[in-house]
Amino acid sequence: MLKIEDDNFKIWYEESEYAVFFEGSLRLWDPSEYSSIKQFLLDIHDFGMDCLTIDISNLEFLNSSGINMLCKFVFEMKKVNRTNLLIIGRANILWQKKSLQNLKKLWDKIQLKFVN
Amino acid sequence: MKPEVRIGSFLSSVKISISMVEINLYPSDLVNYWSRCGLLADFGASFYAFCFPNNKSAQNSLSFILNEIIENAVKYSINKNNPIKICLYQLQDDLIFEVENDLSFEQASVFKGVIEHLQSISDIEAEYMAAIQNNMDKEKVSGMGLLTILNDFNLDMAFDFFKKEERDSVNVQVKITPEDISA
Repeated sequence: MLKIEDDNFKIWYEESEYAVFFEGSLRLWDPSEYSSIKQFLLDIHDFGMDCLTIDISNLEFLNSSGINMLCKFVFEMKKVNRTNLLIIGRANILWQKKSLQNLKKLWDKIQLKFVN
Repeated sequence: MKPEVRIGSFLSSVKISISMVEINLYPSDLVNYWSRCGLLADFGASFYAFCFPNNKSAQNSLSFILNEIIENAVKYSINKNNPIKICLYQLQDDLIFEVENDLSFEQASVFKGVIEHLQSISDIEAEYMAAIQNNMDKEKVSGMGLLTILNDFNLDMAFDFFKKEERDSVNVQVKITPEDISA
């Protein structure tokens, strides 16, 4: 399975669902650690699916550096403009609600879904 | 000690609080084990989340906000072996988070400029989106933590800058109301 994990978080790709799942708490210091996560997402995007899902509904925390990394990934996807993107978040986690709405402002083609 | 420069409406938290927690620690302790920033944020948030309705959601938002200002204090501390001070105050309905850290004279000057600019703009969302666009090609970005919490939570913030002999320091104050963090 394609994944990145440490003691605090796990990110993995479910090929059968064309979906990347984030879980735990992602609050890294080093920008280069976020670069490797962005590259992980871009490598999965390069598999060429019609629609990629990113599910952060079980990601309890992401710091602003991590949100910035997601913005950069969305920007890269927008440049290529080959794959649709669905992002799933949780309605009662306020930073998720706000960040996903901001991502949609970056690229209006993004579909958002909020779970309870 | 009186601040040299005050930006925003700084509340005298100690005088009006009904509860407080103060933590002093070395930035080096957080740099060496970065997940301690999150631990502190989670502790502060869970300690005071009881003050808010829907306290699970409130706890998450409080931790997010506190984590950002702690991370900033650690990153910009000029001497990682000079303590930063984290103070959490409960007022009647609101909370105040304060984090104080040392800065170089140059950093203090730059930071004052950033804050004064943010205070002068009317559309923080436009500023946030512009900053994201401008940061696309940069691996290391700064200032996004502050912009994120201002944009996403519409918080009242104030800043006291102190002049010391070999360095400056800044006390960042964030006021959080139940409306700011209601989902």
